[in-house]
Amino acid sequence: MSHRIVRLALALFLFATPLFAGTVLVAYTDMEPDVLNRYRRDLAEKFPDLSIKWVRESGGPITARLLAEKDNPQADIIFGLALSGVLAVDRQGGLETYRPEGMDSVPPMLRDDRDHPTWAGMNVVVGALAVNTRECERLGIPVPESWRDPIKPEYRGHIVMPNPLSSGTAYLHVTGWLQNLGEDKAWEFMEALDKNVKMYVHSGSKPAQMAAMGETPIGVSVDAYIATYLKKRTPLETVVPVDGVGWDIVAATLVKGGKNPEAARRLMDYAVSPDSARIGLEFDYLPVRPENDGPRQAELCSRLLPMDLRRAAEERDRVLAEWRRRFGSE
Amino acid sequence: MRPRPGGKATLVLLLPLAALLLGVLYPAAILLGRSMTDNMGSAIGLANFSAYFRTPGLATSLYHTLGVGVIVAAAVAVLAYALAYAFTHALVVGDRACRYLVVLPLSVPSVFFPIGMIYIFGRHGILSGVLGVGNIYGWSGIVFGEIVFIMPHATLLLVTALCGVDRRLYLAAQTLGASPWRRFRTITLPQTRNALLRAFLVAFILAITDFGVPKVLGGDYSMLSTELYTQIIGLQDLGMGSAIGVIMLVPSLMAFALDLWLVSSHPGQAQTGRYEKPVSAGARDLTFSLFAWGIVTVPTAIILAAVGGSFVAFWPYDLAPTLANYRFENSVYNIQPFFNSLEMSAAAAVAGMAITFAGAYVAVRTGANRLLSLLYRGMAFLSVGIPGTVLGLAFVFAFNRPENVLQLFYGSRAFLVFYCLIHFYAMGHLISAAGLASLDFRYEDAGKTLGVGRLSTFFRVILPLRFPVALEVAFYFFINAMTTVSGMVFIFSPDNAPASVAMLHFTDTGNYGEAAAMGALILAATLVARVAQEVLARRLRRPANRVNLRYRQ
Repeated sequence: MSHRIVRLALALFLFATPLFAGTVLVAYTDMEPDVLNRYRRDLAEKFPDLSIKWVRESGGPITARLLAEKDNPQADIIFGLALSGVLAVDRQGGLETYRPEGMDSVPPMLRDDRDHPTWAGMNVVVGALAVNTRECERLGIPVPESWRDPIKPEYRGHIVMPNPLSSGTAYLHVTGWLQNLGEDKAWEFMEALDKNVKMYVHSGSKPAQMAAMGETPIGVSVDAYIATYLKKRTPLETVVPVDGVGWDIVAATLVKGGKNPEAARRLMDYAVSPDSARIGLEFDYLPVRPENDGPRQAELCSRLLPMDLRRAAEERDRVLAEWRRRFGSE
Repeated sequence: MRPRPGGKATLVLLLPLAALLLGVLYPAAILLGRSMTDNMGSAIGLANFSAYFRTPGLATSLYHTLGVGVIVAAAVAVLAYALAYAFTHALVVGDRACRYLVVLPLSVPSVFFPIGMIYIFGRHGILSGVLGVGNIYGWSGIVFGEIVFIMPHATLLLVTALCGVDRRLYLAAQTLGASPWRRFRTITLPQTRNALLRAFLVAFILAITDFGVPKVLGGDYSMLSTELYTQIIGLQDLGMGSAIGVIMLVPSLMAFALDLWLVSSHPGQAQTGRYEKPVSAGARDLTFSLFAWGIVTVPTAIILAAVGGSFVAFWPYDLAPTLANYRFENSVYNIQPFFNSLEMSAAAAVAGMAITFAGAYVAVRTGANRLLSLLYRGMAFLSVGIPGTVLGLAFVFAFNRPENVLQLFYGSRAFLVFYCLIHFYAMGHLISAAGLASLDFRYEDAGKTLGVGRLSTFFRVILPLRFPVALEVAFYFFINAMTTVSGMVFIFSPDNAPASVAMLHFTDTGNYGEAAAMGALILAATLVARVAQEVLARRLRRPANRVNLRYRQ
């Protein structure tokens, strides 16, 4: 306890942030805590000279933080953030260009294919339904298999969906529908789904959490969020609708004006390396490098809808305004 | 009666005044400017505001917020009045314990309540079998959660007011044969009407600005605080977010102005009587005891449920007892935020106590420059009119810019302490000022006559005599810095993430067990602080008297 008091006294009189020996990197991420813990162990082994300070929050807060700090950057690297957020920062010129080592072996669709790239993909997050099987059984509703199911009348009031105005997860679903069903059909589908939605929540992880705790039988989410609960004793299942789902890329990028560009580049090389991809595989993710894919990854791949993420980012304001017009006035 | 001008004392006022100007007016001005720019930072006049009122769904958040504010404030005012009446005008069984439970909700962040509510009233809640599955999300959840969260604030205010009702009036009325109901209607109510109104206003401000409850239980019922969060965090529209911040400021400042008017136009109402315990009366005491205990059961049960939830593996499917949640593995900060919060809150307590006590002393007891004193009091009050979420956002805009020298300060621990200082300044000032004003003003005159400097009068008489007040101020800062969430979300940095923000992160990632565990630690820390404050106050009271005597000789 006494060293706390000493530290408190120091904090009071010096108001100084503590000094570290060696290079200190500040990394922002929206990765799930358990995955991040795995990465931290691996990084401590591979980069013993680096001490990394992690800031982990949901995609929205991280993006907002990056935008707010644009003129006074606090981070060196973004190590895993949904591409929608990365592109928002990129549009305001907040990212540094860098071509990480070995990036060319990543499929062009999953990396920045411009001459001076700012970001590179780490893995793909796949849209999915979090289904609580025990709740479904209790309510007498079948486990949904395709998007045709959750718009059926028996699912009325049994679906929790994130709000695309605040959630990138919701927006990737909306983009998937818009770019594949065509605008009119997609809005028609969302109108039908809206009738069954019990409520729209702020974040993409919340529907998964509510389904895991039995607060709703079905939540619209992504595979990464649902995976967090699969290790706990809860009757939860990941359902990837067979007629195809939207997806997003978890990307890494350097922050413009970061204080340790040299070390940050090393971390960036690591982010897109096969080592990093292997960690993704351990969590049943879909890494951007296909070489070690198992059957699970092949199945996920086969369900990805064709999508243009850059177009999705450009259309975001228009699409969200339309969404708000239709569903936002309750 | 008051001592004549104290030139040098005025200088003491300049430091807190500068801090207030820097922490209240400057960020507010920057925020106002930001609300008139678009996302890229170019000026667009009032376009954000007109867009707000034109966009379906956006404007709704204002009406929702005002509606919830009025209903919560009305419910809280009535319930808290009845509760305060029970404590002051009846003999409640287990009065002391019951009073502690009333203020218990102040010891935890507002995000703690939704967690407990899910454990009790959720689909698999402890009581859902008995009460049926109600909807705890959306309007009903927000209203219920806010009532529980705000009750203690209003109750404290009303207990003070109801204690002040002159007992002699009751005695007179009783001798004249007035019925209890008539006594209540013609004495109690008129004498405490202003306090009741003030309780309503305080509850209204808290209800329209809180962020924790709507964040977790709001669902798609949009409120101003969550809409502000959505605009900044979800849509990254800083201009619109600032505009909503400004819109939130308006009703909050109006309520605050009304409150200020009530206080200043009816000062010291009915504070003549000395409070005496009522004589016991069986039926009345039984009724009020049942009522009081019934009321405090609700928040207590919710808090206990959340604490209990921190000791199980995964609610509701895996109820195996465990301490794993206290390892905080699902956060990059582990348990560190708790220690960060302890340090930050302790620093805020010491700094807040020193600065508000010194400021209040100069403003109240020295006859410092009138204009400066008035400005100081105005600024001290104004700080309470700015909601935490808005203040936090304004802090980011104001202090995280390269042309500002204070940018170095940004994100440091001292920055968070500064935020707490500003955010809770008003109450700190009020407690100090009330305590100092009730002390005989002739001490200073006596000091002067005896040829003792003002400074030694302050340190040898005023401070020792009012040390319990200073301690109360310190405790107030401590407990609030431990539990505040709203503005912290925007301004913390990885080095100093506070416990309340860590709690919010745990609810975001769905680790409710760990969120509850962090909340339980906060609860434990504030309870320990409370005990320490009371023990210390009791110990120091005796030497204080000695100093007093020595001075008189």
